[in-house]
Amino acid sequence: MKEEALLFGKTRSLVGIITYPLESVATVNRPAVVLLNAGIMHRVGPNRLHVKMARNLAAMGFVVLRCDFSGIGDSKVRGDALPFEKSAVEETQEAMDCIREATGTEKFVLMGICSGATISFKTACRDPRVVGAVLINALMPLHRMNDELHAYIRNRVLARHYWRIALFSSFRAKNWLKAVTGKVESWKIISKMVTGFQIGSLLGHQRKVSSEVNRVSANLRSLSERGVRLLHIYSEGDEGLDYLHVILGDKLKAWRSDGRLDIETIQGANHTFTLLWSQEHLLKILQGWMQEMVQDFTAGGTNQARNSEVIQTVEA
Amino acid sequence: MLSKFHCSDKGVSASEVVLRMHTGSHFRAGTLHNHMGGNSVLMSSKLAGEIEPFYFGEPIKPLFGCYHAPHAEPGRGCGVVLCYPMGHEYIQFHRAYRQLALHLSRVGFPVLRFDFFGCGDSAGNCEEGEIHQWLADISAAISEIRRRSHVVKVCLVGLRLGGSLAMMVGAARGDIGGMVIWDPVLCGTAYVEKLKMLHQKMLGFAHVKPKGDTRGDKPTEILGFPYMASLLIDIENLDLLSIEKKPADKVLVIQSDDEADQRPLRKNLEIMDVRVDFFHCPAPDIWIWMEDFGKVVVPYQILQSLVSWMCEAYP
Repeated sequence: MKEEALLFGKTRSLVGIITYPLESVATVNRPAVVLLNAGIMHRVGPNRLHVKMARNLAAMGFVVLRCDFSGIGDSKVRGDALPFEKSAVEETQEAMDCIREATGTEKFVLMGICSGATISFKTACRDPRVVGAVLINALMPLHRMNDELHAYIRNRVLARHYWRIALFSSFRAKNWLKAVTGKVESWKIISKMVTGFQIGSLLGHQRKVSSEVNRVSANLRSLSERGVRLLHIYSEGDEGLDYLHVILGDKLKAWRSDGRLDIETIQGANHTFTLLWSQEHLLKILQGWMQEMVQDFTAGGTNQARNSEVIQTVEA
Repeated sequence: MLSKFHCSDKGVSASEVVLRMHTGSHFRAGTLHNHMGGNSVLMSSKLAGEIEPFYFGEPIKPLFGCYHAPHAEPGRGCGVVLCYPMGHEYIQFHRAYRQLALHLSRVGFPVLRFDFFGCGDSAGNCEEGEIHQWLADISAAISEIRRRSHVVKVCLVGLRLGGSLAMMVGAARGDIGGMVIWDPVLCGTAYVEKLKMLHQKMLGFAHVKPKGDTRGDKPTEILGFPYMASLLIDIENLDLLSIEKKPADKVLVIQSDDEADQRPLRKNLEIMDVRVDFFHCPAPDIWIWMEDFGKVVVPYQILQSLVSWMCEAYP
């Protein structure tokens, strides 16, 4: 394994570390991987997780670039006024250009935690070179929404999240203890649990939510038509899982049951994978999924049927 | 002549720059809102400079570094090596160090930030980190900045454990002109105890379910990072007050954590005939583990004071 530090992008002001596999490791049929910033944390990721991911994947034969968006980590601030959600997609494409120049690779898998997952998804929708994306603890909004709808959906998501955490999570006893001993502002949480499911609000927004669900579905269908594979990974304690349930509702169950959609959930893990066992668990999931991707590429295509470990967005 | 600094008693919010990111919102990471005095100030766009990321050191143990060339001419004739803290503190303070490097390079200092072996982007797994290796890493960084900037004088800046390591290296080498040690770890045992306490607190609060007993005397992990038994022993044996050799000619001691009184260190340094300056700026929350990585704290007032001291020390 060899690592190189580099400056890339149109103005050569983005900083990244590219990890190359050893020459003795097979690299045929492997797309390159781009690891995107989690929030404003620099490219090493939470608990140095991106470094572990990059080196693990390089050991499997993948070229991996972990990099900083402009203004984050070591990358320079942009000189223009482009909003982050646009500049980040543009810079992810520049990261892919950089790897292509270095290795000739034309196929890419994007990975990100939290906002990195959101940018991975947005870029996958836009750039045909993306053949896969791993969305880890993707937070709202994964898809563009107007502010009113966003606020409504966020309330719904939080309500679902708090109910799930309180009643069904593996750490519910700890949370009840926190509530009883006054370590959390229980009244605020209860307020969210109640207001998120107010009947008037539900009826008022039903039609808008339906249109949003259709738009999300269309995005997923579009990706599947291109043969893009998506893997959603959620920590049990993460709100992103609730977002997916609120947005997709019954469709989520249907898609999962017919094998078109699967979600990996890591029980007992938090948003940033603080405990070492959860980091190891995440790495194992990634390795398994990427290995399947190589096998499918070797078998000769990107639209082949996949097993239930992988989200399937193939159009019926 | 600087001898003592004090920040006004405005509390944490008055002395820190807080950067937040909310997914999906309009965001420019270079926009830092300085809440000091209620005025919002844009910083980074003015400070943005060229940096050179690279690897250096032993080929089998390459270290990642970012070199910031000095902007102002003529230069100060002194290079600055920034030594990061460890574990979760490294993650939390990466941005502050980057800002510091930009400020220092802007006023004419060549600056090298680097990651210790087994940390950040440097080679090695977290489990491979060892004190003696990290001390050697600082020496490698000193050689590297001398090579790149053609300066002879070097000043070390170290935060927390990075500050302790910097002082140990300075005392061992005897060729360091200046040093800034920011909340250095004076007593390794107390430091490890504090880390263990923070880890237990996290276990009680965060949405995590540990596997196995987490209350043992020798933890294997603390706040997201593995800590090998040998490293913990080395850290626990660390006693900065036992150093008898002069670490540098002039030293700035910065204390932001009121729980760790740095006055004994100051006295020790004065006994060694070191010119000691002391800056006290209480900001206790900056060491707290945060799960939210959409938020980071940059102690702006401390950075400003540090740069001012450097400018006076190396006019």
